[in-house]
Amino acid sequence: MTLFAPDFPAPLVVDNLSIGYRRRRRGPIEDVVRDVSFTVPHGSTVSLVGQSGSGKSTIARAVAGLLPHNGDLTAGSVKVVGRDVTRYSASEWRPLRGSSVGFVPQDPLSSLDPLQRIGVQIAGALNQASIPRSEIPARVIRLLEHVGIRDARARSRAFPHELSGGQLQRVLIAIAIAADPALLIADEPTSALDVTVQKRILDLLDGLREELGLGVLFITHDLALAQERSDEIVVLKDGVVREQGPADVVLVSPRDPYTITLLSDAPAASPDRYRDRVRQPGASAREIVSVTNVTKTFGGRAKADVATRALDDVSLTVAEGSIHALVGESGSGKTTLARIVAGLTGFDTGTAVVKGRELPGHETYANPFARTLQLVYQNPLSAVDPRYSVRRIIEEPLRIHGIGNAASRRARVGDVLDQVALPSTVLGRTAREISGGQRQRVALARTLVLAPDVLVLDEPTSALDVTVQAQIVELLLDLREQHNLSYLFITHDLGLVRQIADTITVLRLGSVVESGSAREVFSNPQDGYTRELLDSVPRLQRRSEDAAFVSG
Amino acid sequence: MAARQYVARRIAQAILVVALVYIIVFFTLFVLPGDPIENKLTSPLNPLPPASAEALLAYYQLDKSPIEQFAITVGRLFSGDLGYSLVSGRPVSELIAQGVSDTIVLAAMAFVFTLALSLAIALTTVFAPWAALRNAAASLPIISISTPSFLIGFLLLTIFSFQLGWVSSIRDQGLVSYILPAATLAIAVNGVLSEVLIQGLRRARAEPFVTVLRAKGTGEGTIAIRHILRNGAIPSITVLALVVGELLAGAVVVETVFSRRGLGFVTYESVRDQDTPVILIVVILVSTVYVVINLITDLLYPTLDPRILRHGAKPGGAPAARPTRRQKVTA
Amino acid sequence: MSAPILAASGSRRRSAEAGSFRAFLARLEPVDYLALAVVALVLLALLAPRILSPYDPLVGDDASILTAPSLSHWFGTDYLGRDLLSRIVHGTGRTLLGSAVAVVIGLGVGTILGLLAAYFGGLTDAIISRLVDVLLSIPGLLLSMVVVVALGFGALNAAVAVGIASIAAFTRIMRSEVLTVKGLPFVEASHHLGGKRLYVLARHIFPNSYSSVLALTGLQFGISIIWISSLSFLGYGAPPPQPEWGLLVSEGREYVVSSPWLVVLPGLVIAVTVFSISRLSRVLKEGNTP
Repeated sequence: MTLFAPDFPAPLVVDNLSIGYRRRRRGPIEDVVRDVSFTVPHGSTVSLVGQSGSGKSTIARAVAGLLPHNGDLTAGSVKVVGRDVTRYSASEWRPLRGSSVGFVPQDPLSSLDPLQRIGVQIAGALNQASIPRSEIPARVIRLLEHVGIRDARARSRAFPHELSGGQLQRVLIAIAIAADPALLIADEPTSALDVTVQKRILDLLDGLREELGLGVLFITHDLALAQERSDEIVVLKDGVVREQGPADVVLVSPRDPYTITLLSDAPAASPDRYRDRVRQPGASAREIVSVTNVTKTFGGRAKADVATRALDDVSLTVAEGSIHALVGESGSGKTTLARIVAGLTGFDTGTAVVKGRELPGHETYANPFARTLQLVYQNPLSAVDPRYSVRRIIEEPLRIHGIGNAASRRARVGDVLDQVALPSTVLGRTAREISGGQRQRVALARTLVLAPDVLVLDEPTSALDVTVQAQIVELLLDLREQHNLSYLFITHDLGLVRQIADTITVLRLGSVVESGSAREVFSNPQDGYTRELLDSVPRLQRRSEDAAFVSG
Repeated sequence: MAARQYVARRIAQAILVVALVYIIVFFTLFVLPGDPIENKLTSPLNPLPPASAEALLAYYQLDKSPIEQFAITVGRLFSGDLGYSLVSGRPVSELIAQGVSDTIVLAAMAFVFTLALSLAIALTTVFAPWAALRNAAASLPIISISTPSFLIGFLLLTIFSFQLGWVSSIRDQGLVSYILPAATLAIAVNGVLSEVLIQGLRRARAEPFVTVLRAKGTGEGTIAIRHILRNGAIPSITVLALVVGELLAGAVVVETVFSRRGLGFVTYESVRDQDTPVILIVVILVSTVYVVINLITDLLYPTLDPRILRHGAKPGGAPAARPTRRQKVTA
Repeated sequence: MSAPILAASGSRRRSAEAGSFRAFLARLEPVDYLALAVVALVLLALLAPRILSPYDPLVGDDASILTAPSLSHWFGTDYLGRDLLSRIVHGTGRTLLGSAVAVVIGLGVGTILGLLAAYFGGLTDAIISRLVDVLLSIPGLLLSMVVVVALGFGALNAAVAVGIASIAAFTRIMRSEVLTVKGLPFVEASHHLGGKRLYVLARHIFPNSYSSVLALTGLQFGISIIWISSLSFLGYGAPPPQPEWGLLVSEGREYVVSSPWLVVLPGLVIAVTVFSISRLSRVLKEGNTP
């Protein structure tokens, strides 16, 4: 900021800002953000970091003038390129849009009008910037090229559904920079994208920031991403700033206890957190799951030309008592493979054996392997009957299998509830009435009640905040030790894999590109794709003396 | 190529539905309870001269088995013979031809009124600046659905003809005479369309792309009309066939209230007199209109929503995305 | 025909608590309290018409023929001097019982057909779905006229006809609800836990499909009232002199110029009743959506 004289005001200055929402019409305004101050200078990135409910997105919306009708700035001020916009009305905001503030949204797939060609939508942003009509088509093409869209002329005629998520985010960035703004607000711009795509999009944003001297306000829940991509960091919790300062100070030597917890819970920050609990694959361990040369085609085998091959000659083994991570980006086939192992999806060729019994290879209605292997769903809320109380949810498997009488089932439910560390007060509630972390514990309890040997975990923590995620991971490790469980763990989070996996299989476009001991794959990846994947994962730089503190 | 196959399949399906309607209605009316045609023709209450009754008895060949009767009737249908009224002895085609033009004008005007009314209600419900106005507009669809068309008709008639004297209830004033009955139909029928439009607009308004449009400086008016309305109105075209069907069925009541002599009145009389050959043709006519409009809107859908085109062109099968969309709206 | 559209909106997540009566009351707006009062009055008219009706519905008073609404005759009198309010009150039973018969037929047959179609799929589904297409292609009022011609005129036959005309709507919503619920993860999860087909159908699919169908039931009940009174208005339903709501409007027609209340008041009673029922069934439905 000192580089620029007062006639070059900073793109964004936020001073003691409080933001509130009216929960009911004519009700009182309740503050959700209190007393937040920060400045985004030219050419630099400021990150707002926090878990859900921290108010980071509310701040992003507020400084972009995009708060919903029931929201309002209740105290403090916001200055955009020197203009005080705190009390701006919608019509006062309009001339600033595009030309002063660009906005990159969270979900690229639904952020463009599905009925308009993307060229038209970019032109819409240029129209606002009073650029002569005759120049617009050429400018659209230039913008698309600028954000790295190949074959821009043809692409400008495409509809949004014809583009991939990464391409759509590029188009949205093109829209955001179309009218040469000074400030770019990026609200979790890559949370819906694969990690390799994320890296490319963030590289693009960084390049544009340097080239155009943009100030970037970056909203993220990912600490590693924040450190890697920003100059300054603001850590938020429940609408209040807990810590702020230069990125390599705040995240390298944090002072606030909340930041310290966040860091220790983030898998990327503490790859060795569970080092003593990871097991090296021993030659003696028996195989409990083995998949051999499995091929799966969707769309029917008869029409080979239209069918898509989801899995091509895939093999993997899970040793008894181990955690085997199945890693891959979207379209890799990891979920299909998980469902095959769980007996929920049939396959065309190959064999799948679970604890010595071969799977039938076609879908069955009632799962004959229920007491051996259980699947834990990604979204526990949709995986339990919304009408059921927690007690009925956990008891259901016992009823289905006719195990015990009412009293013994009750006792068993109580046992399992203890194992997943849930209070008995949740028993009478439905899944909607408990928290996300509790729901995943209930889902785990429901599978444990049958005492299975293997759990297939389909991204069990991806919807959870890091702190809750860390608690669930801890629980999973405890349960494995208590019951000698084996896990097939499906995830896209390589940081988490690095923490807990014993062995690993990397899938890409339905084929195995690499597999082996997790430690070896991480330290010495053999395949080019694995290397790209690992390079794309943002890393936290820690001082060596802090590392001991974190893993201890 | 695949798209053409899909169109052919849809047309075949539509023809099948109309054929099934014909079969089901024929057997319901002609065969099920005793011998309705014979009873009607031989009834002493029938105003038809005995000679004509004899001729019609011979014409309908009631001594044959139901299947044979059906075959004969279908054969005549294809040669343009729609049968004869059991009450007046006149050809059904003549009766229909007499009323149909009047009802087409009425239904067309009512359709335009319905569209305008639904659009006004939906836009007010979603975009009006005052909450009180929005809430008032939001309750109109239920009121529309809850109010019988004869009440609306009599209210309009009482206010505009009897009290204010703006429109004559007796004299034929050309198009002006259609206004009250058309308005009656529109008020009675718009509820469904309004409701679907409101839901569509609300859903479209909550889409993230609206935030992006706002962020790039697009005016609220443009966002509402070019983006939210366009996206939100698409699902409602799937109920257009239903709206037209309801308009035609509603014409039976409304033409009775307004003493008009259209197809609705023909229907009213033929049901009253249990004149089955006339009822059969009226039902087929209305259901064909429904099926054809449904077919057109289905085939039009991909040109309105580019996302569907991809699926519509998929070989061997109905578009994947469409059934879910339709389910949202109509199922 | 319109009811399935109105009943289908909204998602299907619902909690046990939302279904309780107290939660239902908490969601009521001022209009809904009026609606509740109307429904209570209508029920009273149905169960104990004598309490509400000041006069004999069938016997006229020659001294007061076609009198406008007044303190002694709140709704006025008809061409025989009969008290209109008493006739409306005594007509409630026919109209409402008719609608009840219609809804029971539509709900019963429609639910079973929809369940069969969605559960068995394949050929069963194809046949039932085609049948539904056929029934839906004839507007409900017209279809009920066809049936009433086949069955003959009368109050009960009109009710049966309206019931048959509403089968398709129920079939369709039941089928699509079951298909939707069948595809939800918790149904798969129950199978995965070892649940057999019938168990999952009875314990998860059916209970989770049914509340949308119940919401439709309320709306369809209102629509049945309108259809049945339309049929009586046209003269295909209940015969005079017994009162019935649509028939009252039809009887008043001839005097509409001089005594408009004979047409407007029974019509308004129908509209207000149907509106109240629709309003309340919508509140019930909203309780089932978060």
